[in-house]
Amino acid sequence: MDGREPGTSWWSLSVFDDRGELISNAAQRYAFTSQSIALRPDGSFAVALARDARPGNWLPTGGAGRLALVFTTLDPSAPLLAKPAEDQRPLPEIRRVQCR
Amino acid sequence: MNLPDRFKHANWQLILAAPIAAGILHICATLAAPYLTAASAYSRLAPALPVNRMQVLNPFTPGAEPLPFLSPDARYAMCRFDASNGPVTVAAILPPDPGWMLAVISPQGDNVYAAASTPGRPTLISLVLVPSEEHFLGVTPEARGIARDTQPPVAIAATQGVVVVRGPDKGLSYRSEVEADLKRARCSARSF
Repeated sequence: MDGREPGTSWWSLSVFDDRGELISNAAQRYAFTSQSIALRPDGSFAVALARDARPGNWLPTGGAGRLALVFTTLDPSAPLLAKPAEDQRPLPEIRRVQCR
Repeated sequence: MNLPDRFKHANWQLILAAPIAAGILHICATLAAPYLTAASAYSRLAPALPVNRMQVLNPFTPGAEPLPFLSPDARYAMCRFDASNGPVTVAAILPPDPGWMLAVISPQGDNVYAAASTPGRPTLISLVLVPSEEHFLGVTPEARGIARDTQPPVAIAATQGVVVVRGPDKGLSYRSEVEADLKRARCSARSF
């Protein structure tokens, strides 16, 4: 999953199974936030959703089949979609890079 | 009876009324869905929350999530309020960190009030939740001869619902600090 900081004051990216429940994992990691994610120097980020550990920002998915990703932004000044087009950042992009 | 005759003798008023009635029924069912759902978020949360008292929820873990799709990216304090017997006061100080917020949500899921933290200074929140039919009685501190202190309270016409204070989880090092801030939030019934 590739994205760029949405420019809001706080955001998070959480992963759930298809019933909205947290996916149990040894790392006890279920989400990244703007305060916990590792950004690239240009402000972009990549999150790997995978069963096995990956370098960088890894969100464990265990044996879950279908996943639900929730991207939350909190901006006291204005809703994300109500901002002028030039101020809006695109939502993170999901790519399937490997299927085992 | 052949086809043209069938058209000639058809009850067109009934034929037109049927889709219109179905449309009205569909719209009514859609609008009533929040009231008809078997297990709303409020009905799931309410049994575990004391009335008119703020409670800090435990960190969410797999199998112990209070609601589906509720992210563990934050810690929560919640108060199930019931203002049917009198006003309920809510007070909280949101630290000057991004991600803090306080919201008042009705049993139907309507967001009655929301406030977010602002950078640079703490955000003081003082609310009075007043029963809808009694909000004109003058229960604000000014009306009762009490001076305003830090911030003017906001009167909200809501009888029941949940107050949610949300503090972002910044990692293990900050968890006790976030929990201490959540514990400072207050929710209590008071007399007229």
